[in-house]
Amino acid sequence: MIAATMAQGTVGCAGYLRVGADDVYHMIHAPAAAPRACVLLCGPIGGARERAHRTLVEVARALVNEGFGAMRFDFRGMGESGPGFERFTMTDWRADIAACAEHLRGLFPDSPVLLVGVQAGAVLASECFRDGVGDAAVFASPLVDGSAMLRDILRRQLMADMMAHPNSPRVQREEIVAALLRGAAYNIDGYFWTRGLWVDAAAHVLALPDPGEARPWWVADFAGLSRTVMVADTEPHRVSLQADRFWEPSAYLVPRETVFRDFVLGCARETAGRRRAA
Amino acid sequence: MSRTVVQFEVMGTTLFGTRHAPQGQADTTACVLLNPGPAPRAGNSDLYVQIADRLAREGVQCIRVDLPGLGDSAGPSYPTIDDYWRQVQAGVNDRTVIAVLAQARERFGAQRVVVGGLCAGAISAVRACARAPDGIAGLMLLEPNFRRSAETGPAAQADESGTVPTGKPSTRWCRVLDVDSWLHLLAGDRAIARPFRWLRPLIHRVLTRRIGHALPRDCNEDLVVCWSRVHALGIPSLVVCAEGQLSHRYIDRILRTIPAGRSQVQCRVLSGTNHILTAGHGRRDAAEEVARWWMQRHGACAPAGAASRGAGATTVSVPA
Repeated sequence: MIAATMAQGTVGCAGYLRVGADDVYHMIHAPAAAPRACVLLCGPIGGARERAHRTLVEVARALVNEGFGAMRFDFRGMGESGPGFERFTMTDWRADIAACAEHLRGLFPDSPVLLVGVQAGAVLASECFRDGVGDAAVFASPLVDGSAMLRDILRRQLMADMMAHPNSPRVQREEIVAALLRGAAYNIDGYFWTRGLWVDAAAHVLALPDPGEARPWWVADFAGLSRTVMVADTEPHRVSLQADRFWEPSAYLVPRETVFRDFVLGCARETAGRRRAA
Repeated sequence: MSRTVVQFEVMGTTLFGTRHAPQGQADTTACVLLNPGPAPRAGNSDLYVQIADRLAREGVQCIRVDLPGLGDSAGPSYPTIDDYWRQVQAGVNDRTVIAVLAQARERFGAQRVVVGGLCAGAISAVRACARAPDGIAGLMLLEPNFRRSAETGPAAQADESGTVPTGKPSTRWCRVLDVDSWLHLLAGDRAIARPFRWLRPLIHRVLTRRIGHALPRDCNEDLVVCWSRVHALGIPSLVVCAEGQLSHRYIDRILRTIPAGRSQVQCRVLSGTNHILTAGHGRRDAAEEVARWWMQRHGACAPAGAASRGAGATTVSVPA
């Protein structure tokens, strides 16, 4: 159920979208005229969410300046849609993407929708795209699956803990996993992980489209990170970006270059162009 | 309680905020929280959301605001954390915060406000309160950082447009050559300091010996002066520090230099957490300390109500 509607005459709105029994905070950036295409920005989760926040704001503004619409949102349990992270799983967050895409489609029925997912958002966006959500998709630095993502975050957290408290007894990753599976909650990057999240994550695998997929899609690999595994036929969909990994801890609040922003703009143009040609 | 998106127009800039309103009659004193460093208004790992929800359950309305260039608000983004930090110390947010507090009082029926934040948010709160104390009922300082940035210096101030000159290479070189800067760096939380954690107690001892027991040499004196001015007016402060962090090490010595204000300040030290209060149960403990202090100062308000977020969801304009 949509709890916030767009007022006539305004250029955009911020509000809450009802998903299940909870609300998804979102912000829509829209140009004065009908948008050429709309971009749904699906960010990362956990601590990476706040680090990526301002970059995605900048991307949204750049899109509006080019005549595109953009929608940003916080997954349930995080940011403005929080607190209560421990109540949600990746399945819930996938539903958030689907609900936001539907909301965007309802607001701008004549504009194609481009899904842009970053890290966890990319895995979830790929599942939605496979299920027919969106007219095009960008998967930025996607992970193999939800489990790999959580294990990677856990590894980084343990390294940080080890350096911050060198004299504390070492905790192994598998001990934490075992504790999670027994039902204990564990604070990772400021959010309490649960058994539900851990078990559910394994079911979420990066779903890259088949070579025959007619809708445009791209995988954006970032320099310094391992390349996404893709079948040979889909290699033309890969783009390697020499860009800052804006979701990682850094002294920079926004990327030092405009590579990612320009790439998303290019994808949005192509999405709009294909729709027009069709 | 309900949660709504609110909007402030300050000096031509659109700012976004979130208002947590209690069920029933709200206290006449509201709480305003300013961005924790450059993080969005939800706070690091949603710290502010927890605090605001906790206060709303006690009958206190709480407004979390994104300052210009941060979170969802308009304005150019700051390129680096250091840029933001330097500008905050020079007062880039002062006039904005004063305007936001005035609008919050006027629009949301609060007679007075308590203003606060974590780290840089605390600095902006102290500075704004010292400049325009009318209508301010208290300061809520979470992990306030009283250390002066070497590049800011006492002379650097925001100009009329609110910007501060960026650090010159020469001052950066000064910092590179300064022993205390290196000691602070190695005793801090940055990645470069992590391999030297085992040296931390020794570094602290050396720092204490070098700096002495008066006001720390690299203390932001402007900020201390602002804070003492606030104390002199009888405005109370809550300070929440994480054990072993910089604010914990500085706070006693700062309070010693302003004895008149000591009775106005309540200090709480949280153990097992970090500077941004995300480790351990830092968020929960901070929210409890804030609520406890509020109850002591202002007493209980409306009874706790069931959460009904979304019922008060609003639609607001967004600049394209």
